[in-house]
Amino acid sequence: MHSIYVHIPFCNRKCPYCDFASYKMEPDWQKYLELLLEEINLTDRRLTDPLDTVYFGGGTPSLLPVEFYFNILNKLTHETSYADNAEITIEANPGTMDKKWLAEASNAGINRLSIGVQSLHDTELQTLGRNHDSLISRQAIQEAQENGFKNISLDLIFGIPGQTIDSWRQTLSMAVDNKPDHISLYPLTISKDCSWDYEKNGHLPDEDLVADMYDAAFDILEGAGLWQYEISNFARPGYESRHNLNYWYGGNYVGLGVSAHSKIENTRYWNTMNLRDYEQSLKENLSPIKDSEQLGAELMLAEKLILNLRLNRGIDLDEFKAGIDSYSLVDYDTKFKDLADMGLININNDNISLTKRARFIANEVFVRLLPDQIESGKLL
Amino acid sequence: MYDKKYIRNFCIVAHIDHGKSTLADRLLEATHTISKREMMDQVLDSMDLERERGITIKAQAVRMIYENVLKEKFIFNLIDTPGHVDFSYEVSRSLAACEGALLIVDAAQGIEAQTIANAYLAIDAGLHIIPVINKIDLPGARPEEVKREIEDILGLDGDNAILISAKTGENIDQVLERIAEEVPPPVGKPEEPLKALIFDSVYDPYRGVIAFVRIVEGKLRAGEKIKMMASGVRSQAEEVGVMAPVKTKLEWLSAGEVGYVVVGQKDIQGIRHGDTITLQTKGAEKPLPGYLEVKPMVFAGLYPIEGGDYTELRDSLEKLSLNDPAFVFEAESSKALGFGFRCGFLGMLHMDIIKERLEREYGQSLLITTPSVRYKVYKTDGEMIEVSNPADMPPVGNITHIEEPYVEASLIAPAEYIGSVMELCNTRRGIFKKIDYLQKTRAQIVFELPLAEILLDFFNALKASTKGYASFDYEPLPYKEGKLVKLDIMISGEVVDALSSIVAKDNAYNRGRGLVEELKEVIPRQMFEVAIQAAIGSKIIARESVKAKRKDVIAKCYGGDITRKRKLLEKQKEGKKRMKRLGKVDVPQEAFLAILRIKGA
Repeated sequence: MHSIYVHIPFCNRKCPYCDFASYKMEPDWQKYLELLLEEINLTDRRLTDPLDTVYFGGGTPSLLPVEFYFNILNKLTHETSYADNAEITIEANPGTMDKKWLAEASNAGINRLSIGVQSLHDTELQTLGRNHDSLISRQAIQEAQENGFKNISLDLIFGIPGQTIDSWRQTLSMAVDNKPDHISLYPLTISKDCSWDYEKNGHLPDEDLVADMYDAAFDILEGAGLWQYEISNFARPGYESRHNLNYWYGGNYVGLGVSAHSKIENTRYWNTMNLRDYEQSLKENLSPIKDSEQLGAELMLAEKLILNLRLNRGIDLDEFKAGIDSYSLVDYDTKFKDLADMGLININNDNISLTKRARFIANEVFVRLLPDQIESGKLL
Repeated sequence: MYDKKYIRNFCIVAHIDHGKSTLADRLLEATHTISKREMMDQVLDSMDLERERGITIKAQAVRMIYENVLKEKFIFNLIDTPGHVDFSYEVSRSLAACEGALLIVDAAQGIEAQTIANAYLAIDAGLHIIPVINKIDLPGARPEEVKREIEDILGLDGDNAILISAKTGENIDQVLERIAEEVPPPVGKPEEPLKALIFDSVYDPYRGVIAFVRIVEGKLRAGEKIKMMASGVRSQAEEVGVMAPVKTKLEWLSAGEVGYVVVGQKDIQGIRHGDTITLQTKGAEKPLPGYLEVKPMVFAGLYPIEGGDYTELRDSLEKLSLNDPAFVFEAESSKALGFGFRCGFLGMLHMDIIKERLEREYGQSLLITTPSVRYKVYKTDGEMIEVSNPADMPPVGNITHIEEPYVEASLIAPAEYIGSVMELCNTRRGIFKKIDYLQKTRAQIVFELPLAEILLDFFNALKASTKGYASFDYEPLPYKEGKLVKLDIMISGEVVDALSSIVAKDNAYNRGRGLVEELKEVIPRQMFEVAIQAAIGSKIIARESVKAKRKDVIAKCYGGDITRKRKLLEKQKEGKKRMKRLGKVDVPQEAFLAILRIKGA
């Protein structure tokens, strides 16, 4: 099984906390479509096994007409085979989809919708610089459900300046009232690549409050039948994001479009983040790949551990142990024991997983699982 | 051949920045000792550091030839002296090599603390003093008032002070004339047994130690066998000569002359400033007066920062001590810091200079613990031990009393800041001695203060509270008993030896509380709660805690994130490796250095 990611780098406005490749512009979607089709023709990152998931991420993919997506999915049909029940996800912003669009998308084969709700408090939405209010969000969810979508995910943010534990609980309660099938929740993180201005947009709340908010989510979500399956992701059983699970299982995937990432076995590639450079490369029949890295055996192993441990189910060690030599094995066994002694992982019958306490401080675990001498080579 | 009646041995003394080095430059130029093109400003400052700080540290001697209007040729030996309060012994030994002194006073600033200190040293040394008022070119210059100050405060001839501008060269010729006219020629008979005063030394990697000497009596030929009377070292004068301005070999040096001797020794410790060189055969019976063993007053621990090379540091320290007999060091170790050295300095300035020279020589950053003084600890078993490292303090039950070094500080400040100065000294356990008004608007306030109180930031606090106008000078006094205790800092229940200090009992609570609060800000959250405590013996006097970590996660980790986020983790891992372990707590490098710099209340 493999997955394909397609990046749509267009938005109506740039949220101050965003560090993705996205451009505030009138999208020339036909041109971008041409480029993507060209990239599909050009790429030698081929996977022969059936396509299990396709994910249209952005930016704001819901700004483009369904025709765009139809063409891509169609092209892929000619390039590869689809698995049964392939999961096809599109990201959307409240206020950018109307009933017509939703119906068309559903008919085109898009069967999963991920809506960027972020918060259901209007003041918090303003702080985040979003251009929709909570009513529009709730209407969007309802319309999606009424127009063919049976697998809907919501994104929520906590740790917003001005947010309290109560307002967060309210957002969660209102969110689950709309009966989503999946919720992703993230603490607000400001990187240096975004335009967040602490004076204007606000200072982040302290570590303890943010941690309390994370803890507070469980009751409400579990009460609504949404179970945590990964550090930031909750779902009704059976509605976990298969596309994302592929990442955490350490699977292979191909990324298309501006800034998209791919991984094939032990090599990772990524495309240029710049729309103009992307266009230029493809015009000259050149690959838009900007850079890559080749992972040594030790690093592959560590990545596999780290990614799988993000999942509540953790990782079974038999298949993991089969792949490594006895020296590294001893090293890992010691690390696992230390982590267990620190109360950060559970070791049960050759399965290890993060403890509940460890999830929000998971870096303490992951940092210890990285090889002591870190080497990763570059391919280009 | 020369006639020593044409020799003039003199030095220049002044408060910092009053223009000593610039005047020296002008004298060298005016006597054509160095041509204008060769002139590097302040050529006597042979090290970059001194040039940066605008202060001279190493004394050197330069011979100039001056021809007056009558075409008489004089030999002017300019002996450069350090002007800072840390080095007054060195100053006094250089003065002992002279017959005269130019006392420079800034025409705008007037007499300041070290003007007075240096003037008294020169008067005590019996020198003929020529007052020189410099910087008359400045708009704020008030030469007539300064003349009055010189008369009133120093009791010297202010009316006949030479008004100059070393910057523009105005009246430099007058200075030269007056030196020739007024400074007495040296006395001393070449036939007498040799007595040569060592007033400075330098280490040359090829020749070994070179001593700068004033021949007081007798004659010293190159090749003769010599001995140092106080240190007992015996050697041979491999070469003698004068600095004119570079080393110029001579067959002999004779009574009244100033020059250098290559003493054929590799160990500078045996060549002590103030010592007397004489001949091994038919040498002098008694050495010259005034020799003192220089004692360090301020101590600090010096450690390589993580990963630094201990042996390299030791080599660098040895190299430095080659040129600085006043700098002493010995190996020590600390649980928190590893292996390092306990170093002794003449004072805070000496310590700063050594640290900078060392960082240059060693090429790496150094960790320097909060400086301390040497305490005399009297134990219940009758023994007295000297303790300069707080970690070596015996348990409180074994101590009868502790004595600490005191100094007499003279502070000069404008009248409106008298209150600030008094307040500052009172908060530093000062004992007020007296106040004199130098003029209606300026006072000299004398306090007895524990040396330990001057170590921590006193100079800066003084400048800050008097808008920079106050200056101060100090002299050591005998030890006095103090109500002192050892303040320990514990992190997660373990004493961190590098953070221990000896404080006045009355200050202990404030200092403990201050330290603990600063530590709380600087120690990062760990996997568990961390207790930070200040204690005296077993009594906890202040406490704070750092909560356990609750958030350290990569919330989003999808296909496009993995490489970037993994690299963040790698960086975090690297950072962890470079952490310093304080007991059970991991502290990043910068935080660790910050902890050691914490000055407390």
